[in-house]
Amino acid sequence: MGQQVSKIEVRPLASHVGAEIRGVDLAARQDDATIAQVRAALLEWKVVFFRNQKIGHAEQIAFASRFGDLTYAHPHEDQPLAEFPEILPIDSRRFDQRYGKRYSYENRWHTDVTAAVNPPAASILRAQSVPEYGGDTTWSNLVAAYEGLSPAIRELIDGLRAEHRFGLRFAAQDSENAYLKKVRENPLVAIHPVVRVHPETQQRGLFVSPGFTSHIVGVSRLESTRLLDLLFEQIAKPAYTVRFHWEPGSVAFWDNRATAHLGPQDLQHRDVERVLYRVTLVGDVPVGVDGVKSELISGEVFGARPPERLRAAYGKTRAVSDAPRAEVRP
Amino acid sequence: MSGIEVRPVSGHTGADIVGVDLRRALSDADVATLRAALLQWKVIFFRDQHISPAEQAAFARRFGQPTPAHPLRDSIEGHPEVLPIDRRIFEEEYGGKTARRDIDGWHTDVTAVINPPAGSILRAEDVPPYGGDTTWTNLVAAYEGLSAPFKRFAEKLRAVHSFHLPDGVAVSSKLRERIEAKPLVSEHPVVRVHPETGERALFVSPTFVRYIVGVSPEESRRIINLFFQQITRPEYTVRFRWQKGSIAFWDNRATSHLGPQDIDHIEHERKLHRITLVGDIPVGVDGVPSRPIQGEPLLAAVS
Repeated sequence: MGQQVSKIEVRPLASHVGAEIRGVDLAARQDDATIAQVRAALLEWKVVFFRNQKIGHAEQIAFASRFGDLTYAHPHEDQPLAEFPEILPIDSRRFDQRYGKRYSYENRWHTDVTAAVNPPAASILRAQSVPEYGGDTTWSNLVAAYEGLSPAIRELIDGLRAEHRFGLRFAAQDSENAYLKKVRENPLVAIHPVVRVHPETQQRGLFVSPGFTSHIVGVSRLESTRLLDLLFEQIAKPAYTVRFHWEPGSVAFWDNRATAHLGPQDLQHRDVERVLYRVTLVGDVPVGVDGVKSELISGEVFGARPPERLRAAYGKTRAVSDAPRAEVRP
Repeated sequence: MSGIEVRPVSGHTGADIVGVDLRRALSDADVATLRAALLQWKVIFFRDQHISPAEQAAFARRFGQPTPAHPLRDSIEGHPEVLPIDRRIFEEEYGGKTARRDIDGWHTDVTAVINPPAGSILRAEDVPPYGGDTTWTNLVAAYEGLSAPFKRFAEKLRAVHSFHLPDGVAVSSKLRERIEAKPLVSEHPVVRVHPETGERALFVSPTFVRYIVGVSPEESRRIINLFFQQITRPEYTVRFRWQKGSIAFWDNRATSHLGPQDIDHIEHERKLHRITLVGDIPVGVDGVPSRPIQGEPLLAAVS
């Protein structure tokens, strides 16, 4: 790997969110100036895209590590890749085995792993094998969504908190499914502010999503349901979104503190292979407008080391702590 | 000793009044007892009061000044303060069956004016043997049932109320002309402070509320739906079966009500007489009164 020194090009793809970054070869080690430019583009555009990157797991991990510590694959991933415990496969073949036919872990709008008290700061997703057409992912800018609310609604939600849990809909699903049973037995639950203050930009973002937010705490069921309907509609408004078509070698890098995303919606009638690999950066504990932090209700902090119950599964792999070390986060 | 008995009929709303004959003049003590029951239970009911429109008006005057029958509708002959609530008139106005039209939904009386009536007194002349009940809800209880964040939220909001025709409803040209000639539009606080009790009420009147001020149309629609669902929760309501001579007297500052929903297939007449009392201009929690947009206040009827 040679040292790459380059002036990168940031091309916005929509008015509120998403930019394509050109002039970067992720197979090479980037200089600090390039990393700083990518970070600045990420903070401004919330999700940045790279095309035609000829990299594997090791290079993906190496690139991601320039931005922070990596998490282990996922709090409910108990079959990690042998050599790369940080990699979470988003793999239609694995989904087939676990759930039956589907193409993503969560097929509604969501922010990654918000059931954890410290959801990942960012996610980096690389496409290996994707259908020629269909299977797009859409991201929404949660800061723009928040700012698009009227002052009265913003004032209401600035003080509210919501419960997020993994497996919201699993109760209704096959109780014999071994994977879902494990998810149920190890509940991951956190209470987050509805409005999160971004730790780097200080921007306020709307931090709820249909995939994981079960209810708003401290209000009635009716109030919670009606308000969440309003907020879910808000984050999914086309005005705040960008839609990305994957090709092999495409990489999407999103600020998971300021975005929600929607996985593929148009593949269910097709039989295609769709394989992507994700890594996530360890995130901090969200803080609300009032300065109060999120609260862990059940489960463990989502950090670099897997929890005890997953130690055996991850023990078979190279230890996560042996992964390329991240630079100190700002 | 007035001999009046007040019998509550639901957990939050409504009381039967027993031991009153409205053909006879009420003592001041009787009036005070009835007013206290009204303020506490929001709607009070009397049975078997076979009185004339003039006697109904005399009763009403013990509690305030009657308004003209309605800003847009005709009174009964010879009694300008008495509004006929008559299914035949409504069917003529709306070109057919009425119960399912939107305008007949939950509402507080005449909130399109700057000073909606303080109270309404409705007496049944002729009603079906079954069907045609009216339901009231207690807007103070509905407010108090909100969570603290939503109370604070609601207290800062204002809503525009108007007398308008719902989309897709065929209306007689006479009513349409009157509405167009005399538009009634007012902006009221979403939470109203009751002028007598100091209680806070969720003052949203589904038939008349158009939108919440200062939020987007989508937000408005969703917030309004939430508040409408809140005020119509069964726990805050009471449902009343009418008989000839029944009277319902409600505090129009603290209730909404829903007219009959189940009489379209019943041919029986349904005719009642309503008198409304002049109301004051609502005031919000911040002390700011309602704002007139179009139309005149509803003042005392000239007798």
